[in-house]
Amino acid sequence: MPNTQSIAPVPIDQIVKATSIFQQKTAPPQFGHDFLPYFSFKQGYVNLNNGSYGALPKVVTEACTELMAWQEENTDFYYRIGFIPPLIDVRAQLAKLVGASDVDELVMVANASTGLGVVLRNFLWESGDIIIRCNTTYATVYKTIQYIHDVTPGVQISEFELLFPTTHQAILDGWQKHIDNVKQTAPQNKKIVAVIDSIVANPGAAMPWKEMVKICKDAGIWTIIDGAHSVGQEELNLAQCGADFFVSNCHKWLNSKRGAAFLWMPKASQKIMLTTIPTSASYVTPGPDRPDTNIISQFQYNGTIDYTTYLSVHVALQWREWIGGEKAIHEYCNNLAKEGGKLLAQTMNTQVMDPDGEFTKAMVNVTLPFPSSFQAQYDASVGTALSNKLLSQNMYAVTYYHNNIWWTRVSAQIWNELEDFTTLANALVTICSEIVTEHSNANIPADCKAASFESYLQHPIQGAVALDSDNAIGAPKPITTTEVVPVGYHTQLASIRP
Amino acid sequence: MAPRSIEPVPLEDVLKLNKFFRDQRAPRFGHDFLQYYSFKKDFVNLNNGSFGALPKIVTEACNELTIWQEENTDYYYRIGFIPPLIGVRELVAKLVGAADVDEIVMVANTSTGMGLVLRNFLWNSGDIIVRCNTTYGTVYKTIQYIHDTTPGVEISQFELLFPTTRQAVLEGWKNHIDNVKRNAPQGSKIVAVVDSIVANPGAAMPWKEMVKICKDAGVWAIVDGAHSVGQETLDLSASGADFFVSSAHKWLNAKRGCAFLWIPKKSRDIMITSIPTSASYVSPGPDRPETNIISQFQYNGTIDYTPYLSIHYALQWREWVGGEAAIHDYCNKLAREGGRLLANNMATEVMDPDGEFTLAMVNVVLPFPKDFSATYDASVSTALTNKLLSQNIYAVTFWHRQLWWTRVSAQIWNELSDFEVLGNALVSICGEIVIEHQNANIPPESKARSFNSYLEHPFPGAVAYDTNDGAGSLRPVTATTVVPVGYHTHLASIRP
Repeated sequence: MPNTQSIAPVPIDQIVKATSIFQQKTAPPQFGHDFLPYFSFKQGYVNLNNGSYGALPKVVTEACTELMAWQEENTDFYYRIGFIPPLIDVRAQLAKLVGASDVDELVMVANASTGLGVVLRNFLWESGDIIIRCNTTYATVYKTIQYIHDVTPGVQISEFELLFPTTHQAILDGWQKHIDNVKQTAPQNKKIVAVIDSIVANPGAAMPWKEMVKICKDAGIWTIIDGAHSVGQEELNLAQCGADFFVSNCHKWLNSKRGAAFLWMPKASQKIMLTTIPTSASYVTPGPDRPDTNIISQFQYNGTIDYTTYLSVHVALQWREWIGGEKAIHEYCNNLAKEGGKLLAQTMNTQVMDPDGEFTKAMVNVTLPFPSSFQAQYDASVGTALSNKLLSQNMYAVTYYHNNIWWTRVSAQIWNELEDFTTLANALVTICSEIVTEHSNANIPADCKAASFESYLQHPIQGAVALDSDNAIGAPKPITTTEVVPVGYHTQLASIRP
Repeated sequence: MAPRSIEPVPLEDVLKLNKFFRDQRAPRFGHDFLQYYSFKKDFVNLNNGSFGALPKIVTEACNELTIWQEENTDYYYRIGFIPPLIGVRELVAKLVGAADVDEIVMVANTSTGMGLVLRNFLWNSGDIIVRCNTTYGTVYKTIQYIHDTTPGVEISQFELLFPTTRQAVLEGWKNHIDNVKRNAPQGSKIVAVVDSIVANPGAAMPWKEMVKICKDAGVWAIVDGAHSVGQETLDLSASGADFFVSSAHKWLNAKRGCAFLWIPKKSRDIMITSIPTSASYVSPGPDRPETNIISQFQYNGTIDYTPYLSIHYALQWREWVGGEAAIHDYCNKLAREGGRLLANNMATEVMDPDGEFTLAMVNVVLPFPKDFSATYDASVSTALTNKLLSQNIYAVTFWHRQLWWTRVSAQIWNELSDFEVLGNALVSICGEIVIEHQNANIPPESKARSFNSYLEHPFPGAVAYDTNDGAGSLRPVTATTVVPVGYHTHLASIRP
């Protein structure tokens, strides 16, 4: 009996059985707590932070298990033939979802940091070039720009200050002025590249990014959009937006497996993109012999990874259709974010950052109930304490320091209800008062204090500390074997992002 | 609401799979091991080298790790993953003879690790990068890119042609390094990429001696050790190299993609940034902590840490099956005996009859007529791959020094009979390909004038051979004109 095997490509729907629930026409539940059984949160965990890392529905988790098993059946078939058509299919589906003109304008990357990094690193920087960022630019992007400045003589950074609360109009007025200034003082024939967040992370704020793009284009400035939070939270029509590049995470609001993101490079921008990182074996030296689409080839394979994260988008999109579709999801989350924010502020006796809702989609920001004297002085240990204490109470929302105030950023998702905001409010009232007490007892580890927010950015904290939840304040306990990364440190990153 | 512990949790307490290793005894090496892997029924896997294979038990551990990640994702990314990750780095450091856990960081794959090091060097006009014709495709092209975009950076390519001997390689390498050094501008730096084990052909190099030749000449040595960990014993502290990268998902049974980058303390100054740059990046200067690059590698964008954490279980698996020495021994012997058997079967030769270059991979000439092999033709490569896969079997095939070869991996699930099966398959496959060629049924866009022109001009278009038709009509299988199905197969002719 000949031992034969078909090498015809296989569509994902033939490989994955977990999605049969969709074909069976089983009705999904109503948005709210009825959806909790469809996710893997541990019993009682109140998840008000979809924004940082997203959440993988159980059905998509199972589909991923099947996709990984498929990968192991004949790994050579998978990597030489099998993954390619499904990956192109995912790219085509995403292209359609986000309004790209063509599948070959869209490639997959691990996460938004990677996508933005590969764009920024592909520009051939020269002395006199200017990169525009904001104080609110996502930390990995902020630091990528810093790195480029540090190692390329003569590249300047121009930082636009974005302080909330504010209004769309005020931002646009300020942005126009800033761009005009930069343009006026820029050397001749040098390029200016601006990174614009579609939705800022901290605070969680939906920006008038298309208008900001237009201001840049009118001034001849490149625009790279950090759209990490966009896809799945808002509608996109990239062919119309005028930006030069756009990156968004599929694992945040689109229910795919971590890490999967897409990078949109309209044809006019592709000449900037010389190489993937790492450089693919299919890289061709820029020149007349290089095919136009070489960069697209390069993104298909440039080192062995698990494509399951990218392929999971296929199933994630089926999930989202089944539960009600993009519009219904956006609407529910939007309404809940606004109502929830109001309720949260009321219960804690503080304020919503954006009462008019100009900046609010599925994330809302509310002041934390600290005394104003306490608010005024940034202290990194407060960020650690907030994070650890929230986790100890089996719930989470991001907390961060901005414009001399501590805030919480709350994500509203289809498994959340108003009651979750009340739960959060009560917890935060207790937690904040505990922290104030601990502070006045001066029991804060010295190495958790930062002189200022800026100094914190410059000097990451040495040593490792974890607050012992049994002791409340607790003795700092080193829990890493290196001195390099404190447990609290990563929490501090939350004070900046994501 | 009862408070929950935010204490970090050792992986032992996260995963419930301990009983397997305690209660079951490992079978003998050979086909008895097939049940512990997920290969489709009757798939004869003679290509561990390219992508590795994940034992079922490690697959299950990974599935549990994924669920753990979803239970409280904020806990996982802010606290939970950190100590287990450091634990994995410690295990790796111990395994490979690094001096300290803080000399080891995890990366997605070897291409990423090598790219990171090469991109961190601050290149100046006059600098020279030394690579080989056999340097891995992604690394080869990274060096190309650096040359293309940094005025004045030169590439010096060392020609490595097999068959050869270790002695000849070392003599040639010394000559080459001496020449480069002699002709290099004053004050410029020279950086050499050295493969510990070349991919095509699969050849274990005298890399430590090559590194010494570099160091004696003041040349930086970055070792591409993609195939090393799990295939050979490593003692990196003793190696003298400046950097070393190896894939844990090839021969160490970790989940794809998982690799480590070794940055000894002496080399840390070169490493300014992770890629993407981490939020914890500090500008070089007096304020920057010495260990900043190590912090940066811990988190620099949201990824699934499961592949890195899977090493914890991969190492337990390897202990359970018999331990590193037993695994290396079995694979080594099988590679040699299997190679001889294969060459006999096909009436061709083993590339390395003395075994100087042979660990767990062996290279054997394919049974094509000599004139057939003389010019490189990419369609032959596609055909070989597709026909092997169609017969539910796989080993890498590649073109080198005007001959077509196969590179066969010997793993703990393989036995000699697998080499026999491969030999029979290759004899009929090669015969078919010769006939198809004579019938001039080869798609024109699959022909490349030369191997080098192939490297320079990747193919547009997509072709797949329909197994039902033999030569088959060409069917586009991609929605774009960019990447041929066969194209990626061609990458196998260069790597991995």
